[in-house]
Amino acid sequence: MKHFGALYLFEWKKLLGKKIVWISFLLGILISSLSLSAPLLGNYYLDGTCMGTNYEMYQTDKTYAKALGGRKIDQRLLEETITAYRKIPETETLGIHYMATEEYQKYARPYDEIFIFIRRMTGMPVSEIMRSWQPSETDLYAKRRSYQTSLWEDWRLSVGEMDFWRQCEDQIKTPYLYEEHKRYHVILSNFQVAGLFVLLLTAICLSGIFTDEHTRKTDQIVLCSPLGKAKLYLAKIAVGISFSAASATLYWLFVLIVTRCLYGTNGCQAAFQLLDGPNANPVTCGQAVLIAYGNMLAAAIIISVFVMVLSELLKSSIATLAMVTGLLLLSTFFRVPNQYRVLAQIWDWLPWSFLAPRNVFGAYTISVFGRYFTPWQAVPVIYLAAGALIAALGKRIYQRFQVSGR
Amino acid sequence: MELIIDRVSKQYQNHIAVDRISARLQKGVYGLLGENGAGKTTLMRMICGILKPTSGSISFDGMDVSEEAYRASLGYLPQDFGYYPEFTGQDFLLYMAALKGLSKPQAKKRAADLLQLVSLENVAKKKTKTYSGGMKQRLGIAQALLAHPKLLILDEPTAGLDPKERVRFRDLIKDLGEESVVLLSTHIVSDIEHIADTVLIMKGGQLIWQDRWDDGRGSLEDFYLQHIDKEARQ
Repeated sequence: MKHFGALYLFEWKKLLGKKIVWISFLLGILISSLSLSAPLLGNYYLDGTCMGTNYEMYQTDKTYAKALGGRKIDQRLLEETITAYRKIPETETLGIHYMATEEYQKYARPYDEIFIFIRRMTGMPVSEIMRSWQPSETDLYAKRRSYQTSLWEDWRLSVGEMDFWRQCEDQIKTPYLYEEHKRYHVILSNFQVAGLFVLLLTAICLSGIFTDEHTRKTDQIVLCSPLGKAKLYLAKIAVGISFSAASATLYWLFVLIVTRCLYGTNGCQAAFQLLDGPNANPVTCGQAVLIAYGNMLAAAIIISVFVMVLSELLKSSIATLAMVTGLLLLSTFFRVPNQYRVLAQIWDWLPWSFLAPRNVFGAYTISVFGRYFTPWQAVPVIYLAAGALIAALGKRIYQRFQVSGR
Repeated sequence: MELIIDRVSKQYQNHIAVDRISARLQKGVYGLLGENGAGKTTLMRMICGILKPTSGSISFDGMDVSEEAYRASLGYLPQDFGYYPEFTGQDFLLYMAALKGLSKPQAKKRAADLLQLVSLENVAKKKTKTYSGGMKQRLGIAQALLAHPKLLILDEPTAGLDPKERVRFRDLIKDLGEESVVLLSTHIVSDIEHIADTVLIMKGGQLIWQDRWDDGRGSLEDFYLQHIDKEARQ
């Protein structure tokens, strides 16, 4: 690839020479810093009464959660939790929240994480767990299975898919070992916002990589150069892909560093089910964050190729940016209902929707020769294949461009 | 060394921009004259391979206009084009040299030589956004000459240059015509009168006159105006 390196470096220079790249990047970092630290900012109110600052609340909860660290969520811990919660008096008739009672603060709060876990695992309402559920390890895990099955049926999973997830489920060790994992909760709940920022940055910065040549009228000297048609196209595509991959990686590292400083290091080995109770992916929280990053990287790459080719097709960076921003916004407001299984799966797997951990670790699968692949295994491969196809199409559009009418 | 333009036409819906032009250009300087909209720029773009003719063919020394080897022999200065504001003059030439397939050492040496030739060596490290119109035009001429082109297409090369620079570049173009096929278009008839060996006149997309020009024929400007008027009357 003689001369490709030189062209690649010059394209980087053109891209990084734009102020919009730096402004967008810094703005994104600022917004994410606020988003990641939001759980610690301001005061915590319950029924209109200030219970303290969010930071103080977090510190107290963290101390309790750490005290539970390393314990199995077994019969003993379940009994301790329910016993503590049953000390809370009936508050429904008094019109106050149970968390505002002294008994909750004194006895139940240290077991808050386990209580939340029971709710997430079984889908039972708070009042049922607190008042009538008989703590039982066997019942808890059985209820979880039954909750899972009802969700899978709602999502229109096939029998084969359900069997596949049951096999995955068998790989998860029970009873779960509790570990404080606030950092991973914050990372994963911010992941879609983070991903959308990376895609938006990609769209803002790359929508001009081809169109600038037309608006500056440099396309005339570029396209009549020996390497201006094939090698330059590849260099531009390579720079776009590298830029999106670098943005995703830098942003992911930034999130890791900020959450490390704010929330500590605990939770890497915790089961993913502590965050998403009925989920059957046999991964830890640390692995989940790594997988989510890999998928964000793949989404950023396909979006970068899509943006560059679309801008070359439309010959307008503004129109491209408007289209991509519209699609990104749509993903935050709209979901296809689960009863339309095929449409819902396609929508959830589109790059702008797929950033949400609920889709990365979702239950929809793809079957190839009888073997099932999870979304996070299948989607990056689909993206890379689609990206190559779009890039090939873009090459035809770029090479067939005619300089006329100026 | 021969550029063959064979019955080349370019049609846009109901408008024929270039109408069945044929010409064979050998070493030398060719001056292309014509009113605005005569089809000069369209013809030049087709010769440079950035605009596909509706019909006809263009080749240089047996190489078709669509081939990479054809583009390797070509140097092109468009009438109106932009620069990369974030690049210095030197960056711009090095980038263009990479696009033309020059190796890094060759590119550095050639860029330095050309910056000196177009008197931009003192501002080589300054960003092109700080350049004046004349400086940009000189940089454009330099990029066209980077790969020692055998076929040089110059669309209004002296536009924006001051009278002293114009004379200097006229001499430079004349020298280049000794070794290459140079086709230049300009509104300044005196430029062509001084440097072109052969004059081509276009009107309404057609080549209406093509012949060698020498001082014995009198004023080219008078000849051109008379010829254009005569064509208009017909």
